[in-house]
Amino acid sequence: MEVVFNLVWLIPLFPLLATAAITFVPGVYYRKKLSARLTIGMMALSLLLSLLVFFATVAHPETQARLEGHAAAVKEAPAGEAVPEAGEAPAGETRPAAPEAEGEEIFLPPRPIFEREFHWMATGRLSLELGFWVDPLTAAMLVMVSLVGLCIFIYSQGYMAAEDYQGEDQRYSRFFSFLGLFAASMLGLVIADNILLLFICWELVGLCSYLLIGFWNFKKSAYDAAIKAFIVTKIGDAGFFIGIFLLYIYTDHMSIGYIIHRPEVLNRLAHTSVLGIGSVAALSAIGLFIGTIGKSAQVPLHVWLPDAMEGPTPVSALIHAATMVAAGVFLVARMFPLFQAAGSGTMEFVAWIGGITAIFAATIAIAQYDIKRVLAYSTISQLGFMVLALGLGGYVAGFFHLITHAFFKALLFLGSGAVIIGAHHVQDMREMGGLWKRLPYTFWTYLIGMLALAGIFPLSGFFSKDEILLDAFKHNPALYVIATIAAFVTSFYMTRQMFYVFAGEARSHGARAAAEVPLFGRELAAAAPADPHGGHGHDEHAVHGGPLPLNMTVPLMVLAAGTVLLSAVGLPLEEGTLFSRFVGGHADFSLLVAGISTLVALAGIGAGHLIYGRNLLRSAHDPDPLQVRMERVRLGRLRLRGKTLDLRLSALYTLWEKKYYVDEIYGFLFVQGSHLLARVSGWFDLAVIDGAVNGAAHLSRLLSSAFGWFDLEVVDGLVNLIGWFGRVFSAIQGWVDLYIVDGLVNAWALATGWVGDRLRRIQTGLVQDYLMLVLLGVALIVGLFILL
Amino acid sequence: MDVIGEFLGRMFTMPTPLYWAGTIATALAVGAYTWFLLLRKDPNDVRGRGTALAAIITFLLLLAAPAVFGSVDILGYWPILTLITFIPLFGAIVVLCLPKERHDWIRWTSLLISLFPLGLSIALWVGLNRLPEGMQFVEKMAWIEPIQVYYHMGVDGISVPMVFLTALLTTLAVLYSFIVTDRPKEYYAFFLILEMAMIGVFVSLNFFLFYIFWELSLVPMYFLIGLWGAPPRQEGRIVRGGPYAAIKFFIYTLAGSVGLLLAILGIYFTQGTFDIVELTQRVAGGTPLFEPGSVGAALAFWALFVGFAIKVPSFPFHTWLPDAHVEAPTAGSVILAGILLKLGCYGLIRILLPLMPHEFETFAPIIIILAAISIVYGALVAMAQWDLKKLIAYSSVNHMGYVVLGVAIAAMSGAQLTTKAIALSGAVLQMFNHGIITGGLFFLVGVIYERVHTRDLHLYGGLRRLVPVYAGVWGVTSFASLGLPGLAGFVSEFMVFRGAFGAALEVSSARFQLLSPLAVLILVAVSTLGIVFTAAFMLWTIQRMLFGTAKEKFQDLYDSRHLFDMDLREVLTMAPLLLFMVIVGVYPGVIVDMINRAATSLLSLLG
Repeated sequence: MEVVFNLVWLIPLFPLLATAAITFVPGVYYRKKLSARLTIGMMALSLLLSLLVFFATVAHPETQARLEGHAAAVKEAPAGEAVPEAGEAPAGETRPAAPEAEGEEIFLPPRPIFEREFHWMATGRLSLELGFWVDPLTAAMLVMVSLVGLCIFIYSQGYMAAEDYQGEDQRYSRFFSFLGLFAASMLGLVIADNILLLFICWELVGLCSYLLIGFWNFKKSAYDAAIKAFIVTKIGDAGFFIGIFLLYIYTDHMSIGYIIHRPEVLNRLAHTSVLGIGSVAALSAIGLFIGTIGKSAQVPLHVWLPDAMEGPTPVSALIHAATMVAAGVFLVARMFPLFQAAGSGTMEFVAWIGGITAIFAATIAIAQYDIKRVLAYSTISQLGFMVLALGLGGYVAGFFHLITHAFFKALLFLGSGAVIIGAHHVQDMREMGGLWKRLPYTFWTYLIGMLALAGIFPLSGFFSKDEILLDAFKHNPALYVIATIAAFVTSFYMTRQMFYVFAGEARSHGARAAAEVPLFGRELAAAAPADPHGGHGHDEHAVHGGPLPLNMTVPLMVLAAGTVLLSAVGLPLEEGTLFSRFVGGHADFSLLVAGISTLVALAGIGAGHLIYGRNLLRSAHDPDPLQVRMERVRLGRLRLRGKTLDLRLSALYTLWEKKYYVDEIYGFLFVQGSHLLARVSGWFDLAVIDGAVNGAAHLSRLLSSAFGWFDLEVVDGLVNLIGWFGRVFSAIQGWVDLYIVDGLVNAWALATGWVGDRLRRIQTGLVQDYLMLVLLGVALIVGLFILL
Repeated sequence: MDVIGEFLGRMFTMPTPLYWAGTIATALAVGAYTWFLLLRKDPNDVRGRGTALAAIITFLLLLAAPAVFGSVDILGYWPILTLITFIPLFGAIVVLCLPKERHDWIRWTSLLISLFPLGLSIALWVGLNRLPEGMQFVEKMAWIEPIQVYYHMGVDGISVPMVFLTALLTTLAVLYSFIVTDRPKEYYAFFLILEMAMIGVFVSLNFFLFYIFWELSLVPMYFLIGLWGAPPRQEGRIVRGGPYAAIKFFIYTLAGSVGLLLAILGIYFTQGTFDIVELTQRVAGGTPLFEPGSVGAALAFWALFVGFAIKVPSFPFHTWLPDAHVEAPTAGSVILAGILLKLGCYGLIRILLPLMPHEFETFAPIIIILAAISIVYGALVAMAQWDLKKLIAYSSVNHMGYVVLGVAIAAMSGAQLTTKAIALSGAVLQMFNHGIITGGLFFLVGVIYERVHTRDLHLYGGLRRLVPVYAGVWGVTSFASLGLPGLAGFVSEFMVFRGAFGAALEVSSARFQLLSPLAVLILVAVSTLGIVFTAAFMLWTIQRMLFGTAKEKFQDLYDSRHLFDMDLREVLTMAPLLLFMVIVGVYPGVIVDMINRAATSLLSLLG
């Protein structure tokens, strides 16, 4: 047994290997059949291993003790008598007497049978460890995911071969590689023992959902829907993220077991306040629940799921009905003790969100014409039921409904895909009709799914929905009424759909040409796939594709069988049901509630028959019979700007048909709003911040040119002025030099010359003149002597 | 098995320089062989399978050899940091000596040279994990002793990822740039000099050395943007284009560096040393660099912060980035986003955080506000862009906001050590992740731009059908960028936010001097919404580029075979980056353990 548990990590690894092979090995990618078969084979291995794990879990002594029912003590123990069980449990030292302060009983799910952790990264002096484990919840989910997954994978072979868009590359292999990645992430999410690993897988399934919704990404509607799905769930994930951080910060642990199996930890979380806003448990539970709201399409964030129907139908079945959207509910179930520790306020919040979603989506489903959209809103509504159950403390009820819903909703979606392909790409229910004769396998299986969804007695949907209604009945009468009305609406719109699709006359070319390959008729089967496009040319009503292949109808039968057989584990025994014993919780049965719910479901079917069964549509353009009836009821008059408007009951129908205008409101508020914000920020960045930088640059250039002027005109001007002065001065000096200094010199020279010239005259050369002069000189000197 | 074990055992016990000689000789021999193969081919044929194969073999051998030989004692003998830093400079000189018309020689020489730092940085990585905490591979010798300038190098778990990232991205940038035909000699020389400067910043432990490398890194980038970038063009009142962006980049960073220089001088005049390790120890020992609470301390803090924040770039100092990215050549954008931005973050971590912890803590709320604005505002502005490069440039502002947030959280002494360590390691990991992811995105923009010569997203569409491999690679890289779990970006965002929430909840309100813990909590929660915006604009970009049907222009280009899928060289460029995105995303312990060790020891030193 230990060996089997040690191999649990292989379960998600198998499909991942198929994905890797398709992505990286061109030889696989270019062989469509090989890629499909490889993925299916890997999924089958996962299923095999999941079943082994499941049976090993069932065979485990602890589980056996619970299953055999003699362990009333075990079941009761978590609630009140924690101490006696602590002695029995192998890891009892971690569960001391539960110090329940408020007397609020906290349900502790059974401990994991197997757990393994590994080092992921170092955080300070600690180590962050991730790991995987097996507990009853995991075991049940593993089987559900891999079984439903395998059916859908097989179905996809036929569906994707028949689906084509005007010669577009079908990307058949790519589709299977995405499916494999999805299965790996989903299975990883199920075995994660750690919120972080769970979150990682959670985001990866979101990625696959994005890739697969936008699989035909040459269509605008497809990629718009893909982005919408990713962003809307991402908003929820921001809440999830914060919830994780709160838990991580206050426990230093991200192991789920550390939190949910320890009353003392839960107690501490419930009594630690976060900055006075609320307790850690409440805030983190609400954070995680916001993630659930996004992923499981609960009311404020439900808008992405109907649009997600743009993806191929197997994707709608697998991801957007059976498994991924259930991950949100699974998260609440997984962290259930935390929600309980968070207190009644949080639980009530959860319950009300679920209840509102259940009725809100169910009413919208009444007025949809697209076969897949009806189922999409039905899914939202059913997820609302599950959340409602969990919010009311119905751990078993919510989780059981998750499992049964996965089967019958996958069945319904695949059935709708079969109808679409069978009726040659008609999705509008008004263009169908009369298909019950033409597509018998599809019809009968669809009928089983529809009855299960409506909650009719021997089918599994009856037991699971009944448990939810019972929980509501016991704890919250208001929500019980809402849930009962939602149950009525559910059976009503499903009846409407049945009549639209299968009853009456075929109302389009495609529907008239619908056919199935019989289970035991080889000759037709061989003829069918040989002519996939039928050479019908460009006729607008081109009918291509043959009858429905067996690989599309057989999975329907398997799922229908599952839907029927699952009720066995939901049968009320004296101590709950087999299922409740397995997952370790309570399940009751009340004949009164079951009776009322059956009556309500039958009433819904009856009303559907009265309105739709008696007024079958003649052509695709006929109005909806319900709308016609509601048109007749006038509620009152409205005066608006002088005009009188008749307010008729059909306004309500329009409101439903337009989905309460939520898309329009969100589109205006958030999409346009964020675009506007982005544009304003872009303008701000360019004009103000970069403007400031460029302004600074501009200013500095201005400044520098001012300085340049100053430098040129003033500083340099001064220098030039000084230079000019120097030049003037030097000119004066030059003049002075030339005329005065030099002039003096010249004047002296001239004077000397003149004097010389004059004196020259006495040089006569006559001795007597010289003697005369000597005599005069002597006389002069003697005269001077005498005078002095 | 025994034989192999014995062989390995002997290898690790033999005298070590011999091994290095052997490693380098092997690398050179393989390189020579590659070169030889190449010379026989048409010089302009870079897509030859033989040459590419030889390049792969060289690459792998070089990666493997030092990792195998990289035991601690080997590295002890060898000035490995000096080698890592200066081999590119040597390479630049070699490249400059080659004949300028032999483009193939220039290319392959540059590639070969750039492989050496890469191999050695892997040796650093392997070696560091076997060494005790603290600075390792230290080299210290006197340089200008009278003013206490030492040639001091060393690395720890924070710098090694950065050194490795630099070496890796430079190698890939060189490989990618094989298409450059305009003056390749100068181009590659600038690249190699740039590599030297960047690695120099990451390994310097002396302010003087640090500052030299810091400033030096500007010069080659200036020329790369200015000369190999887009030609100038009139746009409104501004003449945008390569020269404009280059000048803006240079002047803006230089303006920040002035404050940095003044602060360094201020520290030198008060403390009398340039040594970062010594200063860190003094601060940790209880002697702050400046009197706590004084104006001088605040001034020094803000001078350093602004100097680094410009380089990061943090809001509101980010506007040089879109211009520089838009105008730079592809490989230039990659290096700019991948590494140059990290210099600023590295400065915050290596200098500002340990040297001025008190001031950092005081001003942390302001820095947290700036970081939160960078995260949300960066994403919003990116959402409004239609120029592909500009969009990614703004996404860098968004991503670097996480780094600043992480560092600011690590400065809060009131938070628990675990919280701070996670925040700081998250910041360093985010630096690394941003390098590989945004570097990869810029490569991919280059790949498509080369073919279609437009970055206007209005013209894009339908690439998924025309170029499926490219579309796949773009998709993975975008998802890594928007923080998809399982890919690298998520881990660092997770760590930073864990740290931020932890700090907001653990730090008592008395510790926050400027903001209440509740305000910080709200800021951080709002930043979480930045993740949603990032997802939104990344998905819109994917939608605009890959989905829908191709517009006429693209279809024509496709029909005329101008638009073809990624070739081998481009795939080889992206492959290591994709590999790291997945490895870090799936098992972050590979790198986080190393970073965490350094971060924890740094933080516990600060107390």
